[in-house]
Amino acid sequence: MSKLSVFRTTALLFGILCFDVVRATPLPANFANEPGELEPNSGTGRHDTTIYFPSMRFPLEQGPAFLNSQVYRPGGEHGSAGGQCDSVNYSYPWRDNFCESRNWPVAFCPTGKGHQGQDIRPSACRKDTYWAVAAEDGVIAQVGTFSISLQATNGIIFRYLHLKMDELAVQELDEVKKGDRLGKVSNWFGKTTTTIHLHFDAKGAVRVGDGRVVSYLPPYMSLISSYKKLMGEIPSAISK
Amino acid sequence: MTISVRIGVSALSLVGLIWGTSTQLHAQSVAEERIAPIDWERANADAARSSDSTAALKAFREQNAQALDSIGLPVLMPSALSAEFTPRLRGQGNSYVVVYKLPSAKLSIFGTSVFLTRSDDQVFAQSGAGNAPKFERSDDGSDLSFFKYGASYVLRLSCLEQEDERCAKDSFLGGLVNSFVIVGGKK
Repeated sequence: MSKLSVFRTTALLFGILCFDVVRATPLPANFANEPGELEPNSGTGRHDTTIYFPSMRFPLEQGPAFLNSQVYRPGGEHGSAGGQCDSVNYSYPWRDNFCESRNWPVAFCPTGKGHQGQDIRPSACRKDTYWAVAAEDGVIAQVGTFSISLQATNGIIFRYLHLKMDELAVQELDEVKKGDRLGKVSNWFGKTTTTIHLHFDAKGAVRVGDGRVVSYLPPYMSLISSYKKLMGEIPSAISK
Repeated sequence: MTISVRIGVSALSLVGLIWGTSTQLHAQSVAEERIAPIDWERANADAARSSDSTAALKAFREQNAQALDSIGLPVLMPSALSAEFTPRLRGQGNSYVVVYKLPSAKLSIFGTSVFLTRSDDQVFAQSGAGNAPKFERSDDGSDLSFFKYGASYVLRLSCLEQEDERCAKDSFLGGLVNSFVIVGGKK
């Protein structure tokens, strides 16, 4: 066999081996939907694989947790039949809903407006039970009408909406460490209520090429990354 | 196996390899953190020219001198808010927040010299976003953000009533920004 044939055969075997390795590593079912892949007919998402907050802790104390739309799922205004506690809402795979149809301005959304963060359902459809926790070390920078803002030491502003506001574990200007309890996931929404979930968003200054902007940033990849750390790289026990 | 068949199989394998790799979810990149250089020359010149500092802000400055002098960016506060709203400050090195309790509303003023970087972005390029103050409403209030002296600032207002004009329109927050004075910061 000539040297050329040996080289070709080696290259072929290497290519097949690499191909098989890649294809034999299936995507975890939990995250099969890509960033920006929203619920059908719920707007235009942003395909962004950047992890903006690599050191972030997952904002719920415990898993499993289910990231998906509150509006375009059962129990939501534009959802299919069923209530908010429908099992489909409490199952994988996750679904990005940053940039889902809203009128709020968001510089990073393809249409310039949309949902400013990610909606997260806790382990089960029970309010006032599951703790939201600090995503980073920082300061409780605002206790709003139905939100808490946490300013991380790097200036990123994390916001938590719909907690049980009359039973928070923190007050304004409290210093918190990553993982500290903030409040329980609930359905507070001012004078009315919403579904039981945590709306989680993050705002920060970003330099993009030659420009810069202060904007809500896509949290989906950071949530996947932090959830993997929380759950120990997707043990089969939590895969559905 | 003839050479042409081998080449064909190799090519297919290569195509498969590239396809297989490209269809992996989450070809991740990580945003990097940087500290913005602060234009202290301009900040000092503005501070020297300012005659807006009220007695309340001067008193705040005296009461919080140590904390203010540990913050690595100009600390901006509005002279348009009176002392009755008792601002409280927390510095975190390259970031700070000042909180106010207003009638039926909460106001927080954030500042930071830290920013994230990412590669150029088509969506951002088309958004027209830039240095101009940006007003954004949300479910629980509104934000107004801008850059100054190299740092970034966000005013976040949460109103008890969503229809409250201070949250619904940009004039209230814009008016506060127009009354900003520098009350501290570590040079």
